[in-house]
Amino acid sequence: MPTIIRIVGLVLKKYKRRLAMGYVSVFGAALVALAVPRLLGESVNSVLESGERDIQALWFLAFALLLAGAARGIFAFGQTFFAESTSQKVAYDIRNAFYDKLQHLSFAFHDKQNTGDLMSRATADVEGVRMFVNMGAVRFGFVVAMITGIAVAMFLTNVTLALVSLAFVPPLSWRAIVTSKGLRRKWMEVQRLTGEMITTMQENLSGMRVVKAFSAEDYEQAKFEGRAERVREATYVAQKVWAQNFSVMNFFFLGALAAILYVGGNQVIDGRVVDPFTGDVTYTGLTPGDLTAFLFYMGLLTMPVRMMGWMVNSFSRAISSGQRLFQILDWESPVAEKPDAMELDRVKGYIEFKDVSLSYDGNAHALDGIDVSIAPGQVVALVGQPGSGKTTFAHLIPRFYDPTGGSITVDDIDVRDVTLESLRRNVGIVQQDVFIHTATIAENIKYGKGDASEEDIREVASIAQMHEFISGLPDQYETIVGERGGGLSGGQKQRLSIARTILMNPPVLILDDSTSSVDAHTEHLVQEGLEEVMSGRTTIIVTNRLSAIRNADFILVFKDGRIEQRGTHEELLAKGGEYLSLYESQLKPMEEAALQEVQLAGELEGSD
Amino acid sequence: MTTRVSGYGHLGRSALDDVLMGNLYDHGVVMRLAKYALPYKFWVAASFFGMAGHIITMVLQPIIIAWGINSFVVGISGDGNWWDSLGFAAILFMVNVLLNMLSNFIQLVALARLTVNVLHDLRTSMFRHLQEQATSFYDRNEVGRIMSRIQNDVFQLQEFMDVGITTIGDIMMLVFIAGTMIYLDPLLGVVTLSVIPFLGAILIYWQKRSRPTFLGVRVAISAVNGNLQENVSGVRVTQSTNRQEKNLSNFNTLNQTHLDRTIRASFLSASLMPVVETLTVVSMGLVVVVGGIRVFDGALEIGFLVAFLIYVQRFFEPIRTLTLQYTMFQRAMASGARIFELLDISPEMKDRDDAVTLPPIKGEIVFDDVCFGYTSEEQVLHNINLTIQPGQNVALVGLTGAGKTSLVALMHRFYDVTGGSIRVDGHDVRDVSRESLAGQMSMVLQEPYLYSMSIKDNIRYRHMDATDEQVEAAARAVGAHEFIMEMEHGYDTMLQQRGNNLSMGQRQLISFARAIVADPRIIVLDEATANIDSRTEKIIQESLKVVLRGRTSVVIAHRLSTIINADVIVVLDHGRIVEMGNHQELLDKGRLYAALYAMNFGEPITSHSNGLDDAISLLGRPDI
Repeated sequence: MPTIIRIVGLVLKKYKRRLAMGYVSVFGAALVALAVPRLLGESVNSVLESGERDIQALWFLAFALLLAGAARGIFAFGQTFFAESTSQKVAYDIRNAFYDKLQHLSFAFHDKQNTGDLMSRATADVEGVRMFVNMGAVRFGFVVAMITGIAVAMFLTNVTLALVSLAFVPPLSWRAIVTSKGLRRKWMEVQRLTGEMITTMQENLSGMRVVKAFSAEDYEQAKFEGRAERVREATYVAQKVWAQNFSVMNFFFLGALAAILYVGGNQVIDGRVVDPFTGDVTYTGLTPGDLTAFLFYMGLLTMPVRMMGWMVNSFSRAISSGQRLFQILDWESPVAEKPDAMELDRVKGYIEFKDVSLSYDGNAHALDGIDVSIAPGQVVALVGQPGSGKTTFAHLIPRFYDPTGGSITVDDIDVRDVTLESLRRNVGIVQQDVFIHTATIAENIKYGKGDASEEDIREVASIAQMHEFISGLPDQYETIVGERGGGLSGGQKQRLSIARTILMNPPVLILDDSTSSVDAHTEHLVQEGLEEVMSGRTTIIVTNRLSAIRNADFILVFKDGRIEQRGTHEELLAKGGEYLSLYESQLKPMEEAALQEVQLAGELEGSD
Repeated sequence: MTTRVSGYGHLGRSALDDVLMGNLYDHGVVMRLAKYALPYKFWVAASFFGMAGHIITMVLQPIIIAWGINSFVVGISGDGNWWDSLGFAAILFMVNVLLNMLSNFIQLVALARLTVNVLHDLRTSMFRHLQEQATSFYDRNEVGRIMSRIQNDVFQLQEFMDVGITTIGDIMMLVFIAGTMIYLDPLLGVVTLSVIPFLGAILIYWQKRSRPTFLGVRVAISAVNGNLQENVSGVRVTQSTNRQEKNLSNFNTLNQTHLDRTIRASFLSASLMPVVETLTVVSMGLVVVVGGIRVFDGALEIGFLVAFLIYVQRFFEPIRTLTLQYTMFQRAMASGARIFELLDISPEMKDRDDAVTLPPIKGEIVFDDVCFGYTSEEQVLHNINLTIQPGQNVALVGLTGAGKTSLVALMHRFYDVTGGSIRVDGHDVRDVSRESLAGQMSMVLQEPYLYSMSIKDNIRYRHMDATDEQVEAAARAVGAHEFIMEMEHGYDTMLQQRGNNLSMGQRQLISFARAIVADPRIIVLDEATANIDSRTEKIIQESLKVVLRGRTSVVIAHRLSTIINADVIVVLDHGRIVEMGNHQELLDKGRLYAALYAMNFGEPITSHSNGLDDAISLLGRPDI
């Protein structure tokens, strides 16, 4: 219920007038709709009034019908239009709010969410809420107004016949509500099974080489058919229930017509007086016109009663959808700006970690007892096994996460005291997982700095060793890349990300495994370019490449969330321990490969 | 870079695929669809029977009401017809309503059965068809695109069959009502129906006007969702580059466009209401005036005047929904055409009709002057001659793009050679059934692909008859047993999609275990170089020895230890075998292998680093 109140609140906050217009149309439509059966009844009576051939009266009634019909049409227009447009506006608001919220939630949130789930909230759940605004908030008025109006009109005409006709309504409404609730459950089951079937198919197609390699086509076919069969049967069951309900509802409505005809007809006959002299017939009780009106009232009643079921559905769907949306919209990002957060000017780059610890969900420590200070312009290399905490360490500086204990300062200012925007302007990061937007290469490079000039873009692309590659493309910097555009290799993506970060010219630079999918030769070239860029900046490199490590002012060796060792390459080698074993197993082989390769390339260039 | 060639067996890539609409009626599509209904003649007949019953009873109802009304309106019908009795009419009406319910139920249930069956058959035949496609089909078509065909297009067809067929019933009802009116009173019938041409003209005009708007709404919403999805995936970049505001304003633009279009669309669909309502009452007014005069003239009984009014009401009711279904019909036709386009792509590689079952083999492999290219323009393998003895261990070495992957793909018949032949124990791989070939040859892929099933089922995979003991033995052999037992449900632990709840190294071990259960004579291995910590790396090295023991093996090698341990090292360059021998021999030669060795095979070298690639190939040239 609070969810529903909140949705209604959203509507009322901005769209009171639109909603009011909707309601005016609803009641107007209900009112004039009631006039039509009455007018038809009058017409029948008018035709029956014996002796007189009053064609003018017929024209008059036809004209009244036309007016009522046209008015009803206009109100129906208003009702549909205002209900639909209000609901679309609310959906628009929710989408924008949802989008903005997602952008501002910290990494800790996004680490746990999968895109599919967020997308289904943004599509199916927004639609669920929208439907409720359309059906529940506006047309609910229509249902109530119609059913009440028809009931009143019937009782005013003839109480007995009204009771006979309306006797069907409560049980039918009840039935409509109950069945549509049950149907919703059945359809949700169908959806769930369909999801499973789609997953099976998706996996099959993505893993087609495995299927082929094991010649498992028949096995896969059987697996899929099993899933598809369950979808088939569940769909059938749901449709059968619907069909049953539909035809039974129809039966009662039409049965009501039979009752009206019989009971009403007998009343007409009972009240019928035939003048023995003239042969004129007068109706003292129920007139044939009244009876006709009743028949048409029943016709009008069909829609609202059916809609009761939809209403209830849209109501329960809105509750679950609303909850899922508000859950995200209300999510409090642990990384939130203080109300009095200040603007961080361009920093010199002095970074200090004081007894920093971090644990996710109160579980084991991802980081524990980290004390480090990095002087402006220093280059620090972070090494360690995967999962040892080096990337998490780097992500704490631009506040992608907040530590659970201790503090991090930049130029002696706690990162939690400044605005996120100004902090991140100072801290540039090249991430492990590079995301390329579907846009031109130039747009991707200037992603964080929209006003960059073409020269700037070219310059940073050159530093990142990309310019040559880009110049070779048919559309050069205007080539569209990204998910829906042409593919870039892992190395190219990383270089693009480097260019993007350099362009922002941050005083603190974080390179996260930034050259891992670049081959040794290119890495060497990138490295040379970066050296130039790194000068004058505090740089933190997460890497397992010796060449980068050797240039570092000092190295932090991570193990199980702690800094196991620190010092320069030579010092650490001399000490032995974790660093030495890392060196033997990973760093050294790569180092040799890279060196020889570079020499090789150099020699070949020389020999050319 | 993978080159995507369009052409044969390539699905369209238009982003508008999902919103495009076809003709209102596409004979080819409808006939193909009808073929899927053929096996279910009973349900087809039942739904027609039900539909006919439903229409007939509905059309008769106003007539019964007319008789009832006539019965108590003396002076017009007089005390004439025996059937003009109220009791008789009421009973008749109840019988009619009962029959109506029954036939309606039969129609709906039979249609439901028919629809779900046809859709099921369509889905499974699409699935089977996709299974039969050669690997090259998947090189050309992204999985996402194929998936969208299957999901959206089949869904469109489902909607069409759920609603569309009842629409046909509605249209037939309209025809019957019109016919009955004209039969009952030709003059009044024609007058009443005279508004239909106006209605038709307006509807056609409306359809033309609104079509681009409705299309625009679909385009706009897909842009909104696309942008949202991209933003969710790229949120880390957004935050580190402070792009939130700019992104929101971009999104807002798309969202606003969508809003504007939906509001316009709702205006358009709402605007039809006054038109239909007005024409309904015009028609009713005509019945009142003209019908009234006919009654005065004694040409029409009053009951039938009421019947006419009811007919008018029932006639106009479905028309509004019909206009909305117009677009659905068009979409369904387009979807149907796309589905059949997919089904019409014939598999490039089928077993020969006379394909034999490969008998149990020893494991000898002969490449006889093999040439191959993915496209006719570009050849990636040139005249490969290579004989691999049973039980021999061969390492393929070369830079990315040298042709290693193509070579093993051919062995497995993912593709067919364009020249020469490949023989396994003397049998040309093209002459044996793929099933029997795959039974004796297993491939362990660089990126192990795991399914969202239990670990046990992932190891067992196709060999469902493998016992739990066999599964465990395989897992033990590759050193996976320990970590599996550490998991909450051991072998019954359900894996997430693509095995996301396992580390890369663990996934690789599972895939090794899968190969051991399959117990092939020949094993093809594409070695991974992904981020694996050194401990797991050691376990993998050990288990690899177990996997390869006693089998003929061809390994695309990246690890030095694998290469050194191989019986024969085959060095490929630009699609040719340039060197062959064991480690020491090749080192002594001091050519490409020696150069590659110097680089320690530690790095995945991409073919994008053209400078280096050229340098190395220069080195590989005999004249250097």
